Amino acid sequence: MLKQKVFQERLKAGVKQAALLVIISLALGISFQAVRSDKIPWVGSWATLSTATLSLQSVTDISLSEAFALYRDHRALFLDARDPWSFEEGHLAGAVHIEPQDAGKQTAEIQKRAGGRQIVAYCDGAECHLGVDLAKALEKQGISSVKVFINGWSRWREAGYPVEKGKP
Amino acid sequence: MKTKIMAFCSSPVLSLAFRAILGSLFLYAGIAKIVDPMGFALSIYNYKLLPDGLINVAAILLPWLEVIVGGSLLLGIGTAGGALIATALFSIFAGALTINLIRGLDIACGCFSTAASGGSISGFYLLRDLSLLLMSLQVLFFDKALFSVTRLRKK
Repeated sequence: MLKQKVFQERLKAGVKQAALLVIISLALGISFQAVRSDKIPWVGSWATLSTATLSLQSVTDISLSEAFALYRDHRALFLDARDPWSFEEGHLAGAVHIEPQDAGKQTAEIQKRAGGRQIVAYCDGAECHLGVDLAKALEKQGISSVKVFINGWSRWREAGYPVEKGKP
Repeated sequence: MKTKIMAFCSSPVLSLAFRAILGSLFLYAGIAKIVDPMGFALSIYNYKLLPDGLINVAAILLPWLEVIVGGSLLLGIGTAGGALIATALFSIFAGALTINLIRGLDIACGCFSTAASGGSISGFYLLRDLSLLLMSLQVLFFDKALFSVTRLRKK
């Protein structure tokens, strides 16, 4: 009986303290959000992201075995759409790093490098939309039939296919 | 034997150990998420539980709650409150994990790292979460604030 009372007291104190801790966290979070330079907006545009991710629309995706066959026969140029740090840590052997927002600037370079080969864009994670974004950006620039290798990095690495490290 | 086990489970020294473990984990997890709000927002989005309008709000504010709870447990300030929030958070995480394990979604945990390339959720993550939940409950009810700022002030 006594124990129950002690627990009740502790729970009561806990609720009060928890309220205070929550208020402090909110104050810190809101203040930091106000001053940080690399902040994300309070409300993100997730609705548009989900449609871009979930429907590939005009872009076609290829399977792991198709990707490997293209690689083996030197019939494709692989484009890594992830951030430069991930690329540096490891990427498909021979892949070129290019982020979707840079597609416009480097169209000519990519076309030269591809030399008529199939272009395949990839990213990492089933939800990652960068590969699709890159393919679409390139299509806008007039490079047609860019294919996407969804969740490319993880699947390639797990299959034990050739990878390499190095700066973009 | 039974009383011995009870005494061990309710020991304030055990609470101290749990506070150290939980406190460090919360601090680490919170800071990792504050550094990369976009990555954390993407993790939350992938869970497909929150409405779109609340995803970023959670990604911006939740890490700070984790840091404050971590600080509370480590320093021994308001540990009942810290442990109560920890219990609530681990319960919510357990619910989110369970729902998506049942749905069979292949998503990153987003628990201690915001990397999308981190391991996919599995029963292991749920077990880990439940262990931490039990630790929080122990601290909530049995902590005597050993090695704490609160005690230092009283001396």
